[in-house]
Amino acid sequence: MARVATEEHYGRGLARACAGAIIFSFPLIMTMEMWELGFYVDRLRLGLFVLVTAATVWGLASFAGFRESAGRVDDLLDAFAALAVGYVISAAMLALFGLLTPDMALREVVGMVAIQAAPASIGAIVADKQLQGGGEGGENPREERAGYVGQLFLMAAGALFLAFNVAPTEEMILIGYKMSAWHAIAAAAASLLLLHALVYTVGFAGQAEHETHLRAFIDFTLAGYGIALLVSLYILWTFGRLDHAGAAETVRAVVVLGFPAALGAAAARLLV
Amino acid sequence: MAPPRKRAGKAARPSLRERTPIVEWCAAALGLILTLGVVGYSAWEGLGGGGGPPDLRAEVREVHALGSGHVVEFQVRNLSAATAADVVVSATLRSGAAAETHSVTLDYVPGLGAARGGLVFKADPAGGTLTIAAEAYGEP
Repeated sequence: MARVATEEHYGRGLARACAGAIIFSFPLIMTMEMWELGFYVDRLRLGLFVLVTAATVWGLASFAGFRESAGRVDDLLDAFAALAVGYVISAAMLALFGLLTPDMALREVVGMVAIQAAPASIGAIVADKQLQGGGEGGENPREERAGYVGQLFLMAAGALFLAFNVAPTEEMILIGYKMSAWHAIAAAAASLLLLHALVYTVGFAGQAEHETHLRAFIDFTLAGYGIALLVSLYILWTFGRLDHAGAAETVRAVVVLGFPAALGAAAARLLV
Repeated sequence: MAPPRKRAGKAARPSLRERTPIVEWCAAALGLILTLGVVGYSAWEGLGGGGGPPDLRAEVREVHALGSGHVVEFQVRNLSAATAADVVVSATLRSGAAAETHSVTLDYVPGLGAARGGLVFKADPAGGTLTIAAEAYGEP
């Protein structure tokens, strides 16, 4: 009897994960550049990106949410289930909108679904962890146990998600062209300022121990912005946006994408 | 996706087999298979070489006589893994001394994929020789 109840509960969890996957992924499913990336992105970079996504989802399964720690194998099972939901949901939505057709080459289909599965899987794991109801384990959120490295990971995951949402568009490169070097410096300063304001007001777990602005700035803001820039660079490289770019164009594009990435890093605590 | 877990001490915790629903095993297995499948397929394709420029082959699929003229439906196949963007497809219909040329630009012809389009001629292609070719492309 208990078994049936457990299965039913798990089914509800899966439905919740599907809802999360749809909500997190539909903006990108409705973005033209994302369909095209599916077939022209370098295959080895795509493979690496799928692995990075899987690792991120696993990390979120371990650190995010309010549930009592369930053990490594449970986290791994949750992560793979979220990935399955991500793949199935993105394929279903692409098919629903007529973007996947039977006469497409396998290569195109695999590329399109794999890229769209990233935000969908992240949405699945976040919805599952977050909507699960924090009441029970609420007094001991898992990220508090995650430690500093876990905090940095959450920031990286947030940066990855938000940067990923805008990186495929042509505008990222175009904005870089329109900006002067001074604009770039201002954008970097604004990113740092926003990141710090959010870090300080939203309040990262474990922040109480080092309450001064300076410590929070060094530990979270600077570290977070560094992560945001690295994540931006990685995403731009994955999408082949930097393939023929000079140093100035590369720096400009990384700073531009660093803005949403920094916001994502700061809001990681709100998102996950 | 996690089954309800009592906040009991570690000692009272059911074994992994007991506390994991069958659906969870299935969902996780599916995720593992799909992830490895995509990584494997991409790595196999990426390491399998297939460098070089796009290899574009344009061919006429069907001709329809409509009120607006004769619509020549064509398909451009790309035999290389490299995707071509902004592909210019041009077709010329020669009948005697007269020649009629039309062209169109396709946004993309995916690597190992195909793209389709149509060109409209005033003269009937059946009454002459029609040549069609992909003439230019840009890198995406």
